Amino acid sequence: MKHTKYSLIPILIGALLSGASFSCSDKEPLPSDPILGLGGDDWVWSELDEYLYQHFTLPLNIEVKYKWDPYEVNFNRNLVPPDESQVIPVMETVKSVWIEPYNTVAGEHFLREYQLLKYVLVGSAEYQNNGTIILGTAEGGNQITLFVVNSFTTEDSNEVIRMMHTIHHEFAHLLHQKIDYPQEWRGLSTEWYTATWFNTTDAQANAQGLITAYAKAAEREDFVETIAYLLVEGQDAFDAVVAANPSVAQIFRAKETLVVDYFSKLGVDFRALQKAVKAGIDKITSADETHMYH
Amino acid sequence: MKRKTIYLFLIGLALASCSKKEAFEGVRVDERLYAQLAAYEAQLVGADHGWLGYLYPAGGGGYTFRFVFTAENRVTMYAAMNADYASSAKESSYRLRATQVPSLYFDTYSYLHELADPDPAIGGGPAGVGQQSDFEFAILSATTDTLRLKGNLNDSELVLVRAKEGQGDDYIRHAYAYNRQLDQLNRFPHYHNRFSIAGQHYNFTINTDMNTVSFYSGTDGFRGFHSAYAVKDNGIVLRTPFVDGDVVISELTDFEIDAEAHVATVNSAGTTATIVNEPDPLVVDKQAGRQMYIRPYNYTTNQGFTVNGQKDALGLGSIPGFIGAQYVPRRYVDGYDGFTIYFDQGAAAYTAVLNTRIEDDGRMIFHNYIGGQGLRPGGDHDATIGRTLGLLLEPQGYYVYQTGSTYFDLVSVADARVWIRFY
Repeated sequence: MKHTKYSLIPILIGALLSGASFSCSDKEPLPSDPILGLGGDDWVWSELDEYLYQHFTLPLNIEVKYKWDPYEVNFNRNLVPPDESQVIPVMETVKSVWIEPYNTVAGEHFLREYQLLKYVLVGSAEYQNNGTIILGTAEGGNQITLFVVNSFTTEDSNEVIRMMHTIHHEFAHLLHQKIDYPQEWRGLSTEWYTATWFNTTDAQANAQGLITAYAKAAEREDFVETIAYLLVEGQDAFDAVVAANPSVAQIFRAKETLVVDYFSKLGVDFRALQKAVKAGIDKITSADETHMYH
Repeated sequence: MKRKTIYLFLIGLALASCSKKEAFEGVRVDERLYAQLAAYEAQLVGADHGWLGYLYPAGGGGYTFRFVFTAENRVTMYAAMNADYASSAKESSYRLRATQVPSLYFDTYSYLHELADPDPAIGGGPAGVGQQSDFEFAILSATTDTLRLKGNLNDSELVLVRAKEGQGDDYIRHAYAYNRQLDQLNRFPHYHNRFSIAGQHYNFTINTDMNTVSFYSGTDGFRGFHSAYAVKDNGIVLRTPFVDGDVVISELTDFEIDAEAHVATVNSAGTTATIVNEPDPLVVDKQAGRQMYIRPYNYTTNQGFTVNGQKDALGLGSIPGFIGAQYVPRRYVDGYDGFTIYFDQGAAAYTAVLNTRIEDDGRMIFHNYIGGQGLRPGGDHDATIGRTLGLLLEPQGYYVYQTGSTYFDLVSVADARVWIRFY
């Protein structure tokens, strides 16, 4: 008897608890007010915002951030935002020398598949404590930050080459972050990689079988520098470097072959891409202002 | 027994869990924040004549701006930084953002950003640092007519004051021109100006290149004060008011400068002060020389020696492409200092290698000139450099007066008509 008496209590409690949970059920509807600040920063759109939306966001889902946002950059550095008048020349160049060549050669699906989500534009360079400056960075396989936008000019083809080298360099990072560079790359120049790459001149690096001084920074930097150099500085410039350094010519040629193979595995004709990039640079540097903006 | 207690507790819990919490009443944080940002924006946009901005970069100096904000996130500004910026406006964008403190962002490039630009070729200052100014500012306090803001990166100070009628598009041009007028005080024959107000006397210096003022007094030992200032169209406003007993100077207006008699009068909050040029100082700063020397800094002058009221009297500016000269303490590892003259737009430089001695009486003496390094411009210009070095190596040396955290004036001990301004 005693035993039964006790066993009733848990049942009672069970009933109470389930009753409680029913009585507590909330019948109020979910709030219908939109959450404040959802969608990020907001401002009154200018023609510039519309241009960026039509040419980058709509076709490729790329956000181009030109307004200052301290959380997109190294927060403890002195940097400045871009001048608005510089944004279209820079992005037109990006379009002609990066987007259009890939669209033509690899098909419009390519840049949507190997997708870049965001361009962040910064007016000045980022100064490092070791005396070097940063001209561009790629992050997490989806974002490119472009520095020194304020001193960009299409009148100086060297300036166009410098900036587009940065972009093709960073985009090549995005590619190898998705599909790694070939194993054969390892060992070609391993002995030259160093954190103090900036103590080497380009000419010294060339003599060691590396296309630029920065290619000495790491294996992956070597890979993307070689790609960017072949695309932007061009085959002629590359051949000239090889010709000037016959003792390491076979290393340069091995790297060139690996790059061409890597791209063909992505379904891209690298030789055609080189030609398309060159055509893009010629178009930008010879363009007069009037048809730049379309 | 123990189990019974547990059951009782559970029953109590079940009952308690049914007590309904009261619905949150009031305004949510996000809503309040956005309302506050909207209120700030409405305040900025609502000023009929725009705002006057007094910006004091962390790197020193003071600059006056005029801003007109629109509801479309656009801002138009003039800046008393140079004659061009003072007379032609530039439009860029701004927005208010909820960061840790509601902040005003000048979010695309304009005049203001030059002071923050890390490229030394654009804004001056050291590479990577510039003038240590800001363009994103936390709003610290706001009244109807005044907003006080602080830079989020470098802690520069910005004060926005609602512009009055008549302080229109040409205000900054007038303010800039006014500051140029004040430079007449630096063209009096002697370096020393005695500033007298309400029975008190001070030595007074105005540095119109970097926009600082300094006061020195010697009544009870040496006391020095310096502050950045921003220009107005009828005077200057001090970043930090000068306070000495009953004397409080926060603004100086209505300068009347007599360039012939070398005297001036000025108004400080209704009291007239007089400025008289004098051959001798009221007081000598015995510490400034040592402070200047121990600071690791490249002291720049862009006009060389002023002699008898004539700027660049020795004609350094006539050297082709002259951009300035620098005194660098401990320039060399073995303790030698350098005085470098940059010409050919900075592509060439000649450095005099010498020693600096600081006497207990405060005199800074350059001596032991052991020769030069680098290129000389050649021809008559070598003689110009020789005369400049000859004056620098004056055996009696220089008294040093501080005009800003890294700004120093050197005044010849032998002749107070000879001085040079470093910043």
